[in-house]
Amino acid sequence: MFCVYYILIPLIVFLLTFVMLKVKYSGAFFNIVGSLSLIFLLFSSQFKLSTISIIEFLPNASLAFATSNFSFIFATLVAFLWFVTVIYSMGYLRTLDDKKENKFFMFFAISIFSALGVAFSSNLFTMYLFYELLTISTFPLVSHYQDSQAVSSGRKYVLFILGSSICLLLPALILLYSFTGTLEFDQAQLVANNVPRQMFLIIVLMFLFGFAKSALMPFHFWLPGAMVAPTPVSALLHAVAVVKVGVFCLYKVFYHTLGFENFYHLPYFKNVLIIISSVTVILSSIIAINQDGLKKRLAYSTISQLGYIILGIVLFSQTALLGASLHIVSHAFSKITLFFCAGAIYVVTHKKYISELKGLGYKMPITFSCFLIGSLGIIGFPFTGGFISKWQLLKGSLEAGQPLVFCIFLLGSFIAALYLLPVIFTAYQKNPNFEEASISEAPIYCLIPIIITASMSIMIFFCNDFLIEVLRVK
Amino acid sequence: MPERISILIILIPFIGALLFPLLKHNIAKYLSLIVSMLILFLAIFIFSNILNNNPFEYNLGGWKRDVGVAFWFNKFNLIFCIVLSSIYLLTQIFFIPHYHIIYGKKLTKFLSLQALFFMSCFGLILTADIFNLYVFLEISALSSYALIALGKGRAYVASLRYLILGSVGASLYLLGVGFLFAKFGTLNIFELQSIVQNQVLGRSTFVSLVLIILGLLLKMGQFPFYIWLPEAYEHSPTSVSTFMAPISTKVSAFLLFKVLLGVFSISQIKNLLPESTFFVHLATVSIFYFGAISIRQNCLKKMLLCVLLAEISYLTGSFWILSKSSLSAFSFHIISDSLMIFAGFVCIAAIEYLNKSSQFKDLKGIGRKMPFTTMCFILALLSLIGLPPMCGFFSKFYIILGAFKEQHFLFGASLLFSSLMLVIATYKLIPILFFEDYKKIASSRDVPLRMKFVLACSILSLFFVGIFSGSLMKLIS
Amino acid sequence: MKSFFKNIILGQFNYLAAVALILIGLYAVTYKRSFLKKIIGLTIFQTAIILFFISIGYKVGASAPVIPHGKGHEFQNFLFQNPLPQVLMLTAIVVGVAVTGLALALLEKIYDEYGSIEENEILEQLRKDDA
Repeated sequence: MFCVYYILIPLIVFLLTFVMLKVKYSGAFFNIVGSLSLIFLLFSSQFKLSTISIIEFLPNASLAFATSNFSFIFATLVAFLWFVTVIYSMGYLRTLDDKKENKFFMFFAISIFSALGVAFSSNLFTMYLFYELLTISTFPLVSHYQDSQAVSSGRKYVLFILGSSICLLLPALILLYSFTGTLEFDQAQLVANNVPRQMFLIIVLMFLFGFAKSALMPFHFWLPGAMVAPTPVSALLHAVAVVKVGVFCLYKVFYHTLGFENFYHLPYFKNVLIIISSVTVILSSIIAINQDGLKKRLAYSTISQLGYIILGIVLFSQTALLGASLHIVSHAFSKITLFFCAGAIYVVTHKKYISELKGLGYKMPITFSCFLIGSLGIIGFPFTGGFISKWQLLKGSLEAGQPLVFCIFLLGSFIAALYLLPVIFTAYQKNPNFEEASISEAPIYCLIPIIITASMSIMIFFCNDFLIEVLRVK
Repeated sequence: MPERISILIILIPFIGALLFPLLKHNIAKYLSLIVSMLILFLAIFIFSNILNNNPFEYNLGGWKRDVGVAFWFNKFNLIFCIVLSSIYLLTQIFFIPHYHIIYGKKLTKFLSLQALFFMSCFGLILTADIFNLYVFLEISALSSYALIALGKGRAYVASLRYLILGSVGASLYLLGVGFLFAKFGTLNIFELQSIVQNQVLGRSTFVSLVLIILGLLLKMGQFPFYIWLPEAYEHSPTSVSTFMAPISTKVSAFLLFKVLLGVFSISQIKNLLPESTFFVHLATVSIFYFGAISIRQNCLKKMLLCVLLAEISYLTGSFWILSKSSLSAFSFHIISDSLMIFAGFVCIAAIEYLNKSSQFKDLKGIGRKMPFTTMCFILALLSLIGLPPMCGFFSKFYIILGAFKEQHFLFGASLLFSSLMLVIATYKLIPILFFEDYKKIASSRDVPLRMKFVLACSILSLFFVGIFSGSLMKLIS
Repeated sequence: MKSFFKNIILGQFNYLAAVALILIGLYAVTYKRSFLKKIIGLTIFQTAIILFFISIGYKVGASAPVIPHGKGHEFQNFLFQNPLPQVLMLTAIVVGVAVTGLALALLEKIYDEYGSIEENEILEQLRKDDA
């Protein structure tokens, strides 16, 4: 029963902001209130499990919500980062003197609504519904600046995501429904009984590529393009909400719907899936090294880290799955820190390219130290949350008998160091231009969220027992 | 009681059509509004009655079935009637205050023709006699020809072309009916069904089936007989195409269902026409074709007409798959598609009311000046693309489900392709609508309130049908 | 040969005649350039179908389906043609008349507008308007 309340909160925020669109600061206000109340509700729920089914659309496919441990963690993550991002956006948009602030916050709220809808969905149909809703609601955010760049990147966004979900995901759903007669999550047994072998392979591939939000290559092209959006959008949506929804859906589909047992006798196919994900991991990291734009580099880093998560899922072992879910959490915090820092740099200096950042470290020490903490989280350095998730992933790869994947994980971390640490080095070089310039630290509204998320990514390391207990799959 | 007044669904617009030319303009306008309201209430009343009791038959003039004309009222017929009458009502609400600007002196004649058109559509849905069906078909055709010709200029040529092609189609249908009558001696669908059930069907039945199908396909606007459709609906006045475009093609598609499956059973048709999958392939090709050209259009109306043509092919394809699930999908799609196309056309009418043109180059920045209207149009397009929870998603889902179950994978793929093409076309539209600055009209007024009401009703109906599609499907199948 | 002639051609002459007229009508609708000739072709087409229908109801040696009354005629002869197709065809004829009337009215409007009733000339003008 309660899960509907969680989902309704951002919807109410959206409606209130819509009604009071002309009132100054109304969007920010409602969003802060909404996110705080959501966090409060989630923490006080003590992770009780409940389900509710609202309307039956088809036989065995209704609009239904259910809570589970993983949904709760994911929803808490989204809610917490919603709050943090709203504060950050206030600083960002005010400093850049943005006129369309309320519209921005309105679409923000409905994107959170869709993300929560996916998190709490209890069958494939509801998940698909909110997945599509998420695409539509994030589109106005991506094309916020409404210039020609926004048009072209918005086109890529819509084309890749809607195109893949209409052409790959929808037929996969329909095929599944036509064979098993139901769209519930836990239909591994039915799938084993009813779906013929070739169909199964095709359905798996269609699901894998159909969730283009998980930015699996070659459907990743929308992600770097979406960096023309304001940084809070890139931060929350493309480091946390949109892409994490994509891998969350993949997690649910592969673990619950398709079922690990069904892959047991398909060793070659499993290897194919592993190769696809590994290519994403390595190739995007290598591309990231070449990028000079800071946000572009972070975008390719996101693609690579999402590849980690997908690789964890297709290893088909319990520990790897645990590692994947942990990585969803830890990567969210680390990456959002990095994006916040990138945005803060832009707000203060209007610089987007890494080569222009020489010597900035001395002027904005707090920002860059948080950047360092975030990078260490991505790399998987001890004492950050990334270390925990990478540890579980490595354990999982050995458990699944894939030593090559073990090497790929390590290689990925190494390359991550290669593209993240140079930013720090560049920032702390001496640069005479900046010595006299009156560049101060980032505005306070931006700074506080950065510090919060950076410290959270360290705290995860110390709270890892709790998280592992909650996320462990039987 | 409902049996006795059920014929009024057809009689009321008929009497209205006769009365309107005799009255003064203002009285006629409001009388037509009242007529449409009456029909809607009547349809809802009979429908709620049928939900509890059985479907019933009304014999015209009390003559029994084998010598007279009978009308058949069952759940699906009445749902379709409700949809049609609500379209009638909404069109009237939308256009009444400025009909006199569009038509001037011809207003009462327009109202009369409109009432005749709706009467004939109701008759087509409800009748159970195949010759009566021909008569109603011709009445609807005649009123369409005249209504389209009200557009002046190019509309005359378009109407004449439509006339020629439509009459050829209706005559082919008549010839087919003639064969059936010569062979079996009765014209009532139920009588024919009972006679045909136990027979081995020979060549003359095959010929009649082919003729009827050809005639109805021509009326429906199925590829390759669709040539009259884009011209006719583009050059007709907007107030005409708003109600005609959603209805006439869907009603003809429904006739295909009624005549073919009312008389014959599915297995008999499959025996008579072993190549029936030819039609599915035809539909697939046409969906690919129309999907591809819909991107290249630069006028809202033309784009919507391409979508309409593709949707007609959805109907043809899902009918000729001839399985239970695809036929229920067919019925659902008839209803949801009429609503969607109507919503789209109403939005275009609203845009044209303020903007006087729906060419893309004249639409720059409309989204900022008329946000409500533009949002409604985008929602209608999203429903046509097939985004949940609107009805378009469910109709596509059911059709593709029916196609996949019968191994017609290419047909399902073509549906997805046309959705993709519509996404691209919508995406071409969005920057023009929202991202530019509006230069023409200085004032920032939006359309009048009654138009907003109609727009809201049509879009809400899309959501409504989508959300309750589950129960709707249970009723239909 | 003679039986072929007798059974197929003479025996089913009405069908052959109807089909021939249908084809003539369709030919006129498709290939003639003048809209007037197309409308004439359409009328031929519809009339052929009506002819086909009525010819179905004919019986050898039957009289018109009218019950005779009045002096001098008694109700003796029970052999009537089937009245049903004739009645139906009355309706069809009326429909055909209405369609032809409407078509001719449209044609007059087209002539006022474009000054010609030849299809190719009208298409030329339309293309010029488009450009």
